Amino acid sequence: MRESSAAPAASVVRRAIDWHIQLESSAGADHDRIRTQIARWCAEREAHALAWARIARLTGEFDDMVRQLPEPSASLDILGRAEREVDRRRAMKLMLGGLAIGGAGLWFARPRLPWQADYVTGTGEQRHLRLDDGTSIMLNTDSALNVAFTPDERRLILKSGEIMIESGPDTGSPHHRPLRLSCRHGMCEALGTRFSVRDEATYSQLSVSEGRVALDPLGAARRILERGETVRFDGTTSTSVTRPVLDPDAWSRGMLAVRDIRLARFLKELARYRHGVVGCDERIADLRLSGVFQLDDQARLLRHLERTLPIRIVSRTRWWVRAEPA
Amino acid sequence: MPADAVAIESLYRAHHGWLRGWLTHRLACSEKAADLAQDTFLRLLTRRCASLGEAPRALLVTIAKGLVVDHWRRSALEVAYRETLAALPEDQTPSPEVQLEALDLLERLAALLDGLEPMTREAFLLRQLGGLRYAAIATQLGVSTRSVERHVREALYHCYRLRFADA
Repeated sequence: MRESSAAPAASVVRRAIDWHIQLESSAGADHDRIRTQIARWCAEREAHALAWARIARLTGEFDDMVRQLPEPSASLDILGRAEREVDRRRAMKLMLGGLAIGGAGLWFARPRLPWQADYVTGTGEQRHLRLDDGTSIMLNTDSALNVAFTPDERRLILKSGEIMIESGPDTGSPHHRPLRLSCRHGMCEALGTRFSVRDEATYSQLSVSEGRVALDPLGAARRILERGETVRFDGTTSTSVTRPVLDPDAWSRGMLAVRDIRLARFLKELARYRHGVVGCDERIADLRLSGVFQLDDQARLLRHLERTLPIRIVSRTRWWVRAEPA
Repeated sequence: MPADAVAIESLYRAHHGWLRGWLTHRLACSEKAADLAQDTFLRLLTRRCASLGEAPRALLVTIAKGLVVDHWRRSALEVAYRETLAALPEDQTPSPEVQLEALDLLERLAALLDGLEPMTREAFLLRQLGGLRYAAIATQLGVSTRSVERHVREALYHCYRLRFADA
């Protein structure tokens, strides 16, 4: 059968997109060589040629749109602010208010989106929750949490972001129910305690502020953490962090407390609380800083950096900030 | 009347009331809620609804949620756009027609990218709007060039699936 009428399979579309990206990021002789390879690939099957033509059409349409838009950086800014507002409303009004109504599964068919969760925070937002068992929770910026309490356990699922937990007495339950937090790379069980967990796509980090926590990392043995301990676990190993550059629970008091941290790392951390882009020039990326910073006045924070380090902050739009050598 | 239309009429009688209430609660505006309730049923008519009987409430809420988000997006874009215009000197304010056109474009772009992770959206917009090279985007976002490529790849695939219905 000829394939002319068949839609390109997902794998073919993805291959075409790969070609497009390779072509875009190449130059000179490389560029020509990749062009030849693409032509050969397109000639192999009609579905290849169709997928390639569609990618070209799609990116062409984008270019047309961009040409007609107002100034690009203004458009970036407008889109960023609007999308933030939509996310905020969606989280507030559609999820939290609308959970009782069925059909959420239909609408939220796309996997792993933060607003699938019971509780979410937007960029720069923090949220305090008190659960039925008396457990007190702080969700940090851009985080998502599910709560699944059963007669046998109090289960929390951190889907993304960062959480601080102060376990409650659970006096309403006839018998003791363990409080457990699952995250991407393992499970933490409270042993009478206050602790925080942070999800970084490639690893998770647990810090114990009070009491003890049992940690069951995926792919590593169970261990008990004492007060003051911080551990990173990534699905194969777990390692203690002896001198964290970031205080693990300062954020819950609206602060960023850092010790001898690289500027690039600091700005990356700051970016979690801002909508948009925070860049750092490579020449100053290795500067170090220590101190305690208030997160609620970031303009002031950035001015302070300019005063204390040999850098200047360039902001093209509210959405786009970059640190450069002074 | 075709079977579908009969089904929708009885659906309308049974569900219009609470749907309107549901929308009013979310939009805090009864007039807009009435409009969107109407639009929800219109959408039903233009859709092929083989499974209409199974969970009409869920289906209606699904459609209504989509319309609510579209409505929020449009008004959020209008507000953001107006703020940007307000910062311009008066003689540089574009004509109403140009403004409307720009808003429509922004809306199309925002709708297209809806549902992408924030970082993916940003990487893609920096590429398309900012015209930055992958390495430059990587520096801006503080990630590797490889992961910028991954984000752009995701975004393109997402747009492809929306743009070409058979995907």
